[in-house]
Amino acid sequence: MAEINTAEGGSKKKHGGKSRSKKMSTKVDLTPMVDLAFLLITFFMLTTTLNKPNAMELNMPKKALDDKEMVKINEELLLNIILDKDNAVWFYEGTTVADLKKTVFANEKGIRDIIYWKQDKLEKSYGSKDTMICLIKTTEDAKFKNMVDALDEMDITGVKRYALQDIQAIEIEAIKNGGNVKVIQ
Amino acid sequence: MPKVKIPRKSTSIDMTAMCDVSFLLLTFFMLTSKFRPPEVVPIDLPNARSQTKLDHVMTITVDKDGAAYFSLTETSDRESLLENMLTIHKEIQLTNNQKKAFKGLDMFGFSLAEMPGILALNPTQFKNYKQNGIPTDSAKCELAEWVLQARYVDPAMKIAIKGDRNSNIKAIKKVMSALTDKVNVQKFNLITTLAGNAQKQVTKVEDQK
Repeated sequence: MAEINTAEGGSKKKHGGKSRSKKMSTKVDLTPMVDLAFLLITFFMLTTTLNKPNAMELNMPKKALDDKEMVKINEELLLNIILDKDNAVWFYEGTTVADLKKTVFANEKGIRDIIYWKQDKLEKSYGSKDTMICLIKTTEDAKFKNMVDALDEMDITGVKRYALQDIQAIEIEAIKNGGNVKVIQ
Repeated sequence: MPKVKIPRKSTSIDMTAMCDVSFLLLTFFMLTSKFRPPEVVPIDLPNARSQTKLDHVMTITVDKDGAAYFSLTETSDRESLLENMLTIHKEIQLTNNQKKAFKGLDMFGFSLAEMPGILALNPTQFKNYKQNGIPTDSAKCELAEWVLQARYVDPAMKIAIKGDRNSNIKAIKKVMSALTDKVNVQKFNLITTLAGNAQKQVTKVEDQK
């Protein structure tokens, strides 16, 4: 297509007689070749592992060997988040398990707002929202997705200090009895 | 007035230069690329905002049934990993062919006891073989041994956990505690995909309701 035959050797037999050998053009149409090359480029671009996987970094706390290594923290700074089945999230402040409330993962009116609310509260009383500590716990029925969601919330809300922790028996009990607890939405 | 004659110009463009460029690019991509390894188990990644890219990692894959798989990207690393493992587990003897088969595995999920048998399978048999996963029980945690030996091969290698979004948290926690308690690794990565897909999937679910 890029070349139109301009009929150079187009039978100029006005002068009869001698049959001259036609002069053929030495040009080759390279368009299909370019097409092919670009096709292959596309193929290699798509099949390569240039697209490295995304990852979120996770630092686990070192297991304390004895009581001396245990760090005591102010319970007012604490927000406990418990991940349950069906993407449910339970939370309570400090150590008051009795205040356990249920919420969801959502951009609004979910656990994120709870975290913001707690951050505001700490900013007023302690002067910095970075004092907040989040403990993320999971029941046995939670999915991996929930954990990643929770960690993602930490990233989004900018909580600096958070840890994954094993769930306590009292919390399991509270969740079991949590059916009557008012659902915050 | 005589008509102004516009000289007819040829519409042909010289494609040679373009061809050169495209083949240069092609060569570049062919030489720099590594083919995406075939997926042994389908993994539906969880979504997150994080965009940190990973390079040079050992990956522990946990599928939705909770079975754990281990993979190294470099084949040379795999060879030395196997050598390390065999020096610890003297009871396992492998022929050269079996070692070669191991080197060719992108990802594996079998216990040490099963290993010689599985490596002896031919490719088609292997394809149909359902791998059970590497044992992660705290009593006999082979996964921790693999990770530890891989750390000896290359201490700089990062550790990534690639879990299916629907796999139970217990399986993931088992892997994590194997890493923290047995291998003493406190820092690892969770492989995720960008959050954009998440909202799509949420709306999909709502549609179904």
